[in-house]
Amino acid sequence: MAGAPEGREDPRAENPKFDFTSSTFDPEAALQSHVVRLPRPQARCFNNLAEYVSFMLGKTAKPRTAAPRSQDRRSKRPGKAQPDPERRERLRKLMVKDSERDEQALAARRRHKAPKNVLTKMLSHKDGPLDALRRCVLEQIRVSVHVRTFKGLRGICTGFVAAYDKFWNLALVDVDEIYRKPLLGKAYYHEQQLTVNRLFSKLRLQEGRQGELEGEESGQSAVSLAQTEVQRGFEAESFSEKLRETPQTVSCKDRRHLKTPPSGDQRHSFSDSEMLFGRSSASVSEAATGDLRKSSRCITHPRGILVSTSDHDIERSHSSHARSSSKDSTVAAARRKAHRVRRREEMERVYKRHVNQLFLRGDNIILVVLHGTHPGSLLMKHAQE
Amino acid sequence: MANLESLTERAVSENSLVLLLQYLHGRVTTVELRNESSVVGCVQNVDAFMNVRLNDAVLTDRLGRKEHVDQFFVAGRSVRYVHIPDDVNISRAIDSQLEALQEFRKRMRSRGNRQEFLNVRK
Repeated sequence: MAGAPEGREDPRAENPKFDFTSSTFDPEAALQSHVVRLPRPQARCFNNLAEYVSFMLGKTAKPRTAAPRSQDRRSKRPGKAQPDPERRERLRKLMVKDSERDEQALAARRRHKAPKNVLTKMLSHKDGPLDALRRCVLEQIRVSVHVRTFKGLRGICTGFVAAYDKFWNLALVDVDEIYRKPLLGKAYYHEQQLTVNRLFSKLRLQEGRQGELEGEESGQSAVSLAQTEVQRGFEAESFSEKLRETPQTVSCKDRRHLKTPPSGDQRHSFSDSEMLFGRSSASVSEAATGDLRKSSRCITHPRGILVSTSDHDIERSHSSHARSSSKDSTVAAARRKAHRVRRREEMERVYKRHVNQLFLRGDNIILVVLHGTHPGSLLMKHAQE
Repeated sequence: MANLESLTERAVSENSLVLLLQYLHGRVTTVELRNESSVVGCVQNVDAFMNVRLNDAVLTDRLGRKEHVDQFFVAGRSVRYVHIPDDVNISRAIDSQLEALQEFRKRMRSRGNRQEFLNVRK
């Protein structure tokens, strides 16, 4: 709204309806009347209440360049004076000045805008799961991160979070990882799903066995070969059982095994046995040296040492009987079985390692457990599929 | 540093921990993949999508077989772990990367290339 043309009488004296300050002010009548005069014609004009509010709050509201509507309407009426050009000029000046100020304010704000990056975002999460991660970073809480594979749990990383982002990418420090590689071959279909408890019980079992093994190896010279064989793990036992079986059945089993298509983990052992069958007439000693070579390759893993040495022992203990070709095949079958068992063992092995600094990509995370805080502080990450 | 010319990549890397990996340029690290194999090599390039290019790499598959590869490209999605060398301070690395980004931005602005800022505001 704008003021009425100048040079008119002030109607407020006659009609308090048009007086903006009076209690009997009638807005409808005022809108329709031509004689209303604004108390402050220079007042800035807003399009709506929201614009006014935002202006009062200090936000920028760009004034419209169009002239107020009421004035337009009035100017169309015949017999009315044209709008005052001087006033118009004044208004325009006012507008330009305003917009200039807005530009300046905008530029100033842009200059003072706080930079947004990983670090600021990392510290800005105020609630939700990412807030808990922020707490981990700030308070140096030890966390366990459950890492997934394409099928369920793979392992657990325990460490301190140094940095994180919204994708749950984590930079971990001082990480202890316990993990198992997912099974391959037929075992893949038969295995029970890995859980945290199972993982740890497997690890404990394995460590127990390893301790046993170390104890044995120190006293191995004193005990006879046969005794150690009995005391060793079940794969060695099954090995000797296999040896005790009649050659007939074993060879039958062999043939059956040969017919089945090689799959997954068994492929290697299969080709191995084939190779041995192919040269059944060749000397056993040659095969034995081959085995030894294999055992030396496996020597990095404690289980590998166990199995390959027992392999060799049995080879030696039975070398006197293994002259005929049937015995040859028995040994080959037994070795193959042992190899398979070893492979299986190897595959199910639970690994443990320490890494000083590790970057973990977010989509491998199942969940994060916070240690040393109140119970139930478990961060679940939703699968993104 | 990654492809700084690309606005998207810059924005993504500035707001995520890819920044940390980009700090590892020229260093020898281990990248472990989701298929249980791992690659040791000299990092040549890491882009904002975590695609990693390694020079002079040794690929170890899950059975422990090793193979030497001159150039190895790891798709970002198949990354599980990246080992960060012990001499890298994580927070300092992120800081320095952010600074480098700011520097680049300043240079762009001084060159009068404001086109990209217009794009940002849209």
